Amino acid sequence: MLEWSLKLVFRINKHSATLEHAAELKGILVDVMNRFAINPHLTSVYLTLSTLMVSCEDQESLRTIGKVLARHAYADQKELVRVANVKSVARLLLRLDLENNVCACLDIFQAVVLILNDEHPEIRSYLVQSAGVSKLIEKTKYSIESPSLSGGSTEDAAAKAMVVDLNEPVLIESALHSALAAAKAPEEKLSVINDLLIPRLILSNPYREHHDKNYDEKIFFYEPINKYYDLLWMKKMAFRLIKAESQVSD
Amino acid sequence: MVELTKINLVLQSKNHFGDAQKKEDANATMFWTQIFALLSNGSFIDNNIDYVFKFLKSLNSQIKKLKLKAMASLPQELKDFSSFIITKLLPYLMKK
Repeated sequence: MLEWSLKLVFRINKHSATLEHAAELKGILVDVMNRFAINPHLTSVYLTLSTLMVSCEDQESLRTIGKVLARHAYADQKELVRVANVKSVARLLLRLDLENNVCACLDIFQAVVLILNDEHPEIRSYLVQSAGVSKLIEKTKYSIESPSLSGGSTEDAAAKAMVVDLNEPVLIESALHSALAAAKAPEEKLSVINDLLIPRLILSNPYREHHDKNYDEKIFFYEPINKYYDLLWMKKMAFRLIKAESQVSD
Repeated sequence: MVELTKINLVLQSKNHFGDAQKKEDANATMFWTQIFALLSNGSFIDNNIDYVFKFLKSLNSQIKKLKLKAMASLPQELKDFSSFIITKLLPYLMKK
């Protein structure tokens, strides 16, 4: 009942500019998560509704939702939750103004990187093909306009063209480049390097940390954490980006 | 009487949005007045939990089938129903 009531609220308000009684709904959602955090159905609705309610001008609420989305992008979350998560991230990207809020969006960038490393191709391709990722593409390097698709609506054309021109590794690199490019002030650049690239891509080893916990002896089944997130190419790429950035600033 | 209301509740919900545009306003208003009255009654929800569940599910799938254009201009009754869920139904369900 709770799940379908919340889903109905989401469906009705999906395309509305404002949501009435947002404060009450926020309180209910917090309560729902406190009581039923392990229920993947309710977590999925929580993600979609929380993203719908977030104000993209408010940096604090962007930070909060970013943390929630990054936490639910890991592969140890149920598939149902990850699907809701990728849809929420794609929907949020459409509304984001990365140029002016890059420091508040670091968790969202992390969620994007995690999703693009998800073990399910459908989850990865959902994000690659969503119109919102056009904001993460370096316009000077990659084309999001395809001459053969110029007849369609801009959003459709952009989405389809991305399938042609991009793949997950290219998009990851492009997204991180865009984060650095959007950080205009030196302190913003430092924040992207010190709060995103170094701790989350170079120093973080979630797959190895997961193995250190030795779940083999437990009787319950644990989904392994996304092993691709530990790949050396990610660390190398982050290191290369930092190196290039330091050469520019020198 | 109660049985009839319960059946009407589900049946009407099934075709309410399929041809929402064709329905007369008076019918739609009566339908929603009935829904709000029934769902405001806690004991009705408790005694007819399956019907209420089916109603919510059916309404959800009907809205899901709507085209983008129709989604942009949903009837006011539905927006009122969303507010009703947030302010009345959800707090009631959370207390249980």
